[in-house]
Amino acid sequence: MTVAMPARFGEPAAAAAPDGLGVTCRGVVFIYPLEGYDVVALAGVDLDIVPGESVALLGPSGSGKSTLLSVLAGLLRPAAGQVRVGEHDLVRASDGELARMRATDVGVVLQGATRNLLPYLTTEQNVRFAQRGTPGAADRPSPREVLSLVGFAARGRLRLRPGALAPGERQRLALAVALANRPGLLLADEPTSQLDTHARDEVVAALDAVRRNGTTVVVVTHDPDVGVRMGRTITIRDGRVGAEGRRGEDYSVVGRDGSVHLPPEVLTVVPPGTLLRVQAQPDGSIVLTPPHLQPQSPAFPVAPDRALTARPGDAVTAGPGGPATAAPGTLDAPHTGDGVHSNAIILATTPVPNGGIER
Amino acid sequence: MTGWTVMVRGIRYRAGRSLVVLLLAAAATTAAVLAPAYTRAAQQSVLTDGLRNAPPSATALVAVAEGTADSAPAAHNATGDARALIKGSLARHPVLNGLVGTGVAGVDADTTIGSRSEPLAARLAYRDNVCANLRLEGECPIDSGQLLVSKRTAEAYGIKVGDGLDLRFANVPGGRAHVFEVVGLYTPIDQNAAYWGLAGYFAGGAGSPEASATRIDAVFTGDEDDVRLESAATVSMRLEYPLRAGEVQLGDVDRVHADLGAVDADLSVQELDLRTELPSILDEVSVDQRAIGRTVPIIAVPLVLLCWFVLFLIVASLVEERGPEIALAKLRGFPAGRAARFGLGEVLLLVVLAAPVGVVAGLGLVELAARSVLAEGTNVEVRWPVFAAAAGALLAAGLAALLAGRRTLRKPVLSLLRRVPARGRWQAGLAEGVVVALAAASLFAALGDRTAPLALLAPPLLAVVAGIAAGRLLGIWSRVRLTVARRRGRIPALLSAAQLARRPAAHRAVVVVTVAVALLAFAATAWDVAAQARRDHAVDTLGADRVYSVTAAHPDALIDAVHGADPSGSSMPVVRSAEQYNGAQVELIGLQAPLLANVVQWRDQNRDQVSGIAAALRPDSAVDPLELDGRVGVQVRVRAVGGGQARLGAIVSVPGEPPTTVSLGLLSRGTVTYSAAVPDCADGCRLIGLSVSRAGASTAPLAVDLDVREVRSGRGPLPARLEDRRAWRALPDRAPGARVVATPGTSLRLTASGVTRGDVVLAHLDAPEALPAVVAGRAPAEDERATEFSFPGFAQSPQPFEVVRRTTLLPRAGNHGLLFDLDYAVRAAEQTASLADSTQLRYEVWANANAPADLDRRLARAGVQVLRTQTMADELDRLGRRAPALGLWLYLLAGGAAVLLAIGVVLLSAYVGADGRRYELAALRVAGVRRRLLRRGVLREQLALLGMPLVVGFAVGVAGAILMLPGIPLVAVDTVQPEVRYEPGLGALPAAVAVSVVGLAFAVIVVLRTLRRATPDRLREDAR
Repeated sequence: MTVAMPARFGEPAAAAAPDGLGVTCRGVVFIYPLEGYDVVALAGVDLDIVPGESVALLGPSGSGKSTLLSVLAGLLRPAAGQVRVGEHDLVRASDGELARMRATDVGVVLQGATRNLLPYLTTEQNVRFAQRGTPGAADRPSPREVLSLVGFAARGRLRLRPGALAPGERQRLALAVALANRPGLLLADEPTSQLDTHARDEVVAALDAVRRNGTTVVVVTHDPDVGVRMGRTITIRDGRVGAEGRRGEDYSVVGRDGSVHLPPEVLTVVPPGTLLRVQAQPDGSIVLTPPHLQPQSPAFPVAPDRALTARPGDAVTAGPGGPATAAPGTLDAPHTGDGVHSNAIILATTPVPNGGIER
Repeated sequence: MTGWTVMVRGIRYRAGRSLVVLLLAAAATTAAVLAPAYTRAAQQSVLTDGLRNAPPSATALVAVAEGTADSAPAAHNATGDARALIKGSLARHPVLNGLVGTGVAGVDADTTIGSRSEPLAARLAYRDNVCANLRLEGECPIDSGQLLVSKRTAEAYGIKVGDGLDLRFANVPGGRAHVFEVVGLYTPIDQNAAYWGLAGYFAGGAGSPEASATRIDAVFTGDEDDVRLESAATVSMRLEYPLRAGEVQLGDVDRVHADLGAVDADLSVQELDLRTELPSILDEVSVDQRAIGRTVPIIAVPLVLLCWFVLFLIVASLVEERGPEIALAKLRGFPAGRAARFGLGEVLLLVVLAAPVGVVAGLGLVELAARSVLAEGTNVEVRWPVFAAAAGALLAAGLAALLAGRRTLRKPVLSLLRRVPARGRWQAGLAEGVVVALAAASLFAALGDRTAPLALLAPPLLAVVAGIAAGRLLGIWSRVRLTVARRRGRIPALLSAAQLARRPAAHRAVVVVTVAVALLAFAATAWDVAAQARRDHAVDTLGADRVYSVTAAHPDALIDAVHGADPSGSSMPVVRSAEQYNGAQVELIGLQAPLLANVVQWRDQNRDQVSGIAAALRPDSAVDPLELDGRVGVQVRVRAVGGGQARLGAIVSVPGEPPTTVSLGLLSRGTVTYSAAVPDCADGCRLIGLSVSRAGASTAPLAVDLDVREVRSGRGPLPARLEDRRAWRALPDRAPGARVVATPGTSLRLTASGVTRGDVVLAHLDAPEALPAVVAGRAPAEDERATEFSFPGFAQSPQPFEVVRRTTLLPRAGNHGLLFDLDYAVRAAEQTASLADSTQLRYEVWANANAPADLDRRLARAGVQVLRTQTMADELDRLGRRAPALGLWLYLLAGGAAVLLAIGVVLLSAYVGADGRRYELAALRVAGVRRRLLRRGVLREQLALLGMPLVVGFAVGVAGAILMLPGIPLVAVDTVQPEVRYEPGLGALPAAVAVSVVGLAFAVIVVLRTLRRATPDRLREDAR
């Protein structure tokens, strides 16, 4: 069942708009202890999200993006590193403080809309139930305001139970439930999975409305289109932030330890274990050269005066012979040694200082 | 929206599961309430039965004064004085006063009526309202000097209404005659009615204290002063207050004891004795009451614990199922307390709502039991222990809910969302260890003393241990099966083994089903064994389908009355007495052997065996008695008579009279028929011998030689069997110093010579010299295994007995006694004495089921007063309401309830995990597994899940019964524990098997139907 998008969809709510919360992760490590062995889900995540930003966490299954979301929600405690959500230090906070944080400042949408809802309560009652975490809070919005923010305007829909709603509506209701207490940060895990295009667009529009209302939005998704529409994409690979995207452009990120995730197609050229010579060029680009290629040789495409020093957190593009697409792979720089490869790799001609995002 | 709204909506959403939780919590409360409520009702039932079964005369309060005016002035005062005194005393004791009926005053004294030469002994009696209890011909006496005479007395002695009777008070020297007018003839409407008490007004025909007078029924006067006409007469004054047995409540008992003592003290001041057997009856009842008080809680505790455990399991499952919802609450920042309230609120609300439901159900169940099983008039009592038990159950249920939910509530959000199957924890292992240790302790206690409280918990504890073991075995077996099935590629076996191996709920369900089935099997076995023991006990106690305890003038009167009342031979007269020997009581039972097989019920003896015993007691070759009809004649050829004149006599036994010798005349040489009339023999008498005695005071040696050629009665010759050596025997001890020889032949030759002061007696042996007898237990002789011994018979004189059989039990006489033919015993006794005066003899009439239903009335019409009637059905009914039966009944109920609980657990386990199972099965169907294979897999799983505990449960239950039953009272707490024996039949055990199998099969069918909806649609996210 689909519902026509209300005219005021995405209009700011009547209640006071929330102050978006920024997110800062530094070297976040999380390990799942399993029987007989441990799995490192997050292996030193560095991430900065400014208040009011809309971010999509992309990455293959098992890369750690949902784990990162859980860490940001205070549902998992990192083994190492620092995590701050607004003023909350999630590493040092007690369970009670984390619960209060979720009750007031952080809204969480679990994967699968029905998992966020009590099936025996109506649409409006589900929102009210979510507000019971902070009884007596004076400034919380009314359920109808919250529901209108995500596109529930028709009065008749408010009395329906989740089972009677269309899948897209259920997902928007799940968003509304997470937004019940006007949080500064909304964390949504796969909010558009199992939805058709129309329903997906409704949900994305709702998320956009939430962001425009002042709430920082972090979404885990597999859908690149959703990522593009979120504005900023962060690709998680093997428990690390591997790349960032800006308006469709993808950049590798230099980690705090100087590491850079190479895009998959680059890794087909320089598989893990390849030795590269790293040379900064005067034009700001970095040249990574296998040992058998000399910088002065005709095959070397970049003049040495265009060298650039990439600092940790810088977003860079990389590709054989110039900017290209990204995929997993790590290159330590500076690095020299023996190796066999036919091409050099040039890292970004124009670095973005300090990983900043152009908005 | 409030938390209540969420709770109520959640309950409605999970309506089926909520209903089951409500019912389980209610069941736990019901089980808890049952203990105090059923205990109270059962104790009340025992009290009511005990008082109702006791003779009214025993439970009545009787104030008695007896004596002359000098020795007992109260007896000679107006009954109104005593009545006022008692009324005043009772008024000060309202509890006792409320339990007794209106007092009936009676005053009586022994008198003789008629001429001095032929007096009749009669009791002159006054009794309140006597005419209302009599059928009258004539008037009711209202003035002094007026009498009522019984109709049968009047007919026997020619008394008519209007006659004047001279009446003299007995034992009053120089007493004068008082003339009374007979104003009416009476017949008692019901001479066995409680109104008459134990005064024995209708003992006409019985022996009288004055041997010369014949006892007639009491004569009633309408003026109590008539009884006190002579101050020297011994007057008995009684005020009888019947107890309203059905109204005595448990709470009254202590007060009644105290009040009886106080009233007794009040009356003794006025020289009145308070006579009642009420305190001892209450004491007897209290033995059963204490047994019930001990047994019921022990029975109820396992049921309560099982309910508690089941509730724990169910709540744990439900809360675990609600894990994602609780996770949502935590995800939305609910503080721990509020999240716990959200998680447990529904269950706790249901538990609280279940409490009143459980109380009402418990009280209703007890009321139902009271109406169907317990004594009439017993009702459930709503007292504080009921509510205390309910409160305790509520707290326990709440605690169970908290403990059950604690584990889930403490989980972090992501664990709750992940729903990883819970692993066994060390706490569960510890709990199982504690149960095993307790079971071992109770088993040890049971092997030492089966009556110890801990021992009584052995069956349920062993059942729990068996359940735990069965659960673990099932897990191991499933893992083995899983490996095998995986290797062989058998899908149904693989699916069922995988489910059983990985589901912890399966282990718990196995424990519950095993325990429940074991409890039911134990209860059913115990019930069947106890029912058999009750039947055995009833047969041992009664000996026949009906037993009437009666009064009779003497054994012959009883025999005549019974044969007159029931000519069909379906009933027989029985005479009993008891003798002490070597510190133990020996019961003597005389019954008519020819009727034995037709009437008696004798455990361990079938009809053929009983017939064999009867034949041994009274062989066909026995000598028949020589019945006379008023005259006796003996043809004798006297060969010689020396030493002076000799007189021939006939020794005759008239029923109820001592043997008398009727003189037939002086012997003279030649053949002469000597004859004479026999006094008091118009209704028949018996020739028991002949005698030759000296006619004068000569001391010369006696010399007699004669042939007895014929014996005759008035009707003609009698079969005297003069040729039979066993029929006649000379009794040399009657003529010490003489040589007496009897020689049978065509005529019986008697020779006697010598100097003796006694008579020469030739006894007719119509009874064997040694009575054939069946001996139960040790023979009452120095040699316990003696085949012949001498022991006091009915006449209280040594009687030789010959052992023809030995048994362990005699009907109605227990395991130490003698059983013999009544006719032989009476004939033997009446050789020397009259049995009419015997106070040792107890008379009974035993009847089979075909005997006339109105046999008691027929006996009454035949002059035998029925004092008490016992029937097999009543006895079984009475035993069925004794403490052991009432306890076992509750046990059976608890076992049934436990199986219902187990079925509920199986169903709920299926429901709780149904969504997940349907999802799995739907996925398997999508993966290509055929529906038929899935169905077979589920069926195999359920059969393994329920079949194993069914078998183990029954085995453990029956084994527990074999272990414990020898120590559990089966019939009554104050009797010797009977032999435990089980006779297969359509009893409780087969019914329990059937109920369990059908119930669990029903559960399997429901589970299969539940999982039938496992269609691929289930795989959609929004499919519920």
